Amino acid sequence: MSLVLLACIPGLLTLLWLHGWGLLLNLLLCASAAILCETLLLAMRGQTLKPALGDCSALVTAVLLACALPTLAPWWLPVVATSVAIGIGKQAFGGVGRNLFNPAMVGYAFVLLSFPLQMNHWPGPAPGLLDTLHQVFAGNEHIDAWARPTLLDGLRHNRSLTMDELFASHPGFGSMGGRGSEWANLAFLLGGLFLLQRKVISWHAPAGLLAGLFVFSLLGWNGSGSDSNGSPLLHLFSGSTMLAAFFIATEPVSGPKNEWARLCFGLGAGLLIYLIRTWGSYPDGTAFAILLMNLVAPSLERLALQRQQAAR
Amino acid sequence: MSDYILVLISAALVNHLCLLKPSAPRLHLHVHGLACALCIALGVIGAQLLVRGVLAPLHIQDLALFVLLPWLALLAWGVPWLLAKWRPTWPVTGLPGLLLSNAVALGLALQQASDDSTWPAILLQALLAGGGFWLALVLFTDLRQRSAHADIPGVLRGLPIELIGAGVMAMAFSGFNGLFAQ
Repeated sequence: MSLVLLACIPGLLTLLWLHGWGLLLNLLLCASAAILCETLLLAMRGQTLKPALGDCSALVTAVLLACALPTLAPWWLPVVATSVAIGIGKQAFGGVGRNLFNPAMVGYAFVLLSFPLQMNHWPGPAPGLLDTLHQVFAGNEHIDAWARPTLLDGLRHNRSLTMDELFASHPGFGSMGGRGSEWANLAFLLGGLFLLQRKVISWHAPAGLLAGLFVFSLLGWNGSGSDSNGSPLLHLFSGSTMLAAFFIATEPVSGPKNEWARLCFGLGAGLLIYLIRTWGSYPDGTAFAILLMNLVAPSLERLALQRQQAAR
Repeated sequence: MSDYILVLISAALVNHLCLLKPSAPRLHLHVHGLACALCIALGVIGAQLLVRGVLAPLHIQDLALFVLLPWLALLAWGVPWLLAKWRPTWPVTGLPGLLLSNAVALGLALQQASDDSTWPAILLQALLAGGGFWLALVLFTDLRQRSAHADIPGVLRGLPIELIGAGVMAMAFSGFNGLFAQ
């Protein structure tokens, strides 16, 4: 798990460069809430702290949440998200190695559904340290431009432009996948490839997810118009795609164990991400897609077993 | 869209928590799922036939509930009977009660009796609702089986953790909010 943390570093640095101090605050809040919550719950359950805290899985959950949550959200939002992730997503189901759902995604979906307004607090230009602190702890409303639309949002609400016009009308979108998010995605891709090379994760789930997203966005893509929801390349490098593929879909406990089932898990997640981010009412579909696929994972496992038996 | 999904899930939850044993064999589960799916699909289609063929010409649509209830009760006894005829080894005891208490069929039938959908839309919705209910039952069984072990904190073991699991499941499905609504 500490290797996973290491692999997050390029992505985190890129996000830090893009979003400024808010990300650091998020990281601090999430990590301390995760460790506090885990310690408290383990103590309440009368279990030893060392093996559970030592494998860093709580920290991985915290880092994933910190990357996913908006950087200027009030301080309690990351705290609530992390507490729900650790408390309900993980410890309620029996702790490390027992969670049925990806804990980070449980926390994220919880706050996304409960506090939709605060989940929009993405800064346009990254504010300075003092402004950020004011914003996060005092709920200061002085920042002029709250949020910029993300590329995926822009795509959903502008159905009659060509992609070139859409990019031209929103200079903040960068060149390919949304405001700098192509860089963040590339950095997470780098971290993911490192994990693959060190054999921490298997290639099946990420490959399935990226292939699923690629194929289905290719089916919808007509070459230029924003009514066809963007090119496959745009989908691969916008939103949280790479983070989802290499760091979230590969979570070993709640996903299936069998390789074939993992491939299907990824494919299904890719399809659901595409469906939810293009036609749903949420900014990105990763959390819901992963939770839904976690539900289907036992069935996939059973299918894989039947397939093996039939092959013999 | 998400309304329909949540209705199916909550009906499956009720069926599970009140009426199904957690350790029931898979055959039992699938027979239950198939019977419910058939009941929902046939119920909705038959209800539509009744409403359009009998109630509408007589201008007594307000009596839909009194006509649909007996029709669904008939199905709740008829479907298990037919299944038992077709595959005598399948366990169908106790099914009529489950089917009778399945409010999805009645809800969908009543809802469709009041709008003017086209026949293909009705057929598709009936089949999808039946299949969706079956799927929700299977997903719930997996959830229950995987959340029945000794590592779960004592106070949460059993029903509480199943309800928490159901809550997370509902959160996951609310991702479909707004889908296909544009």
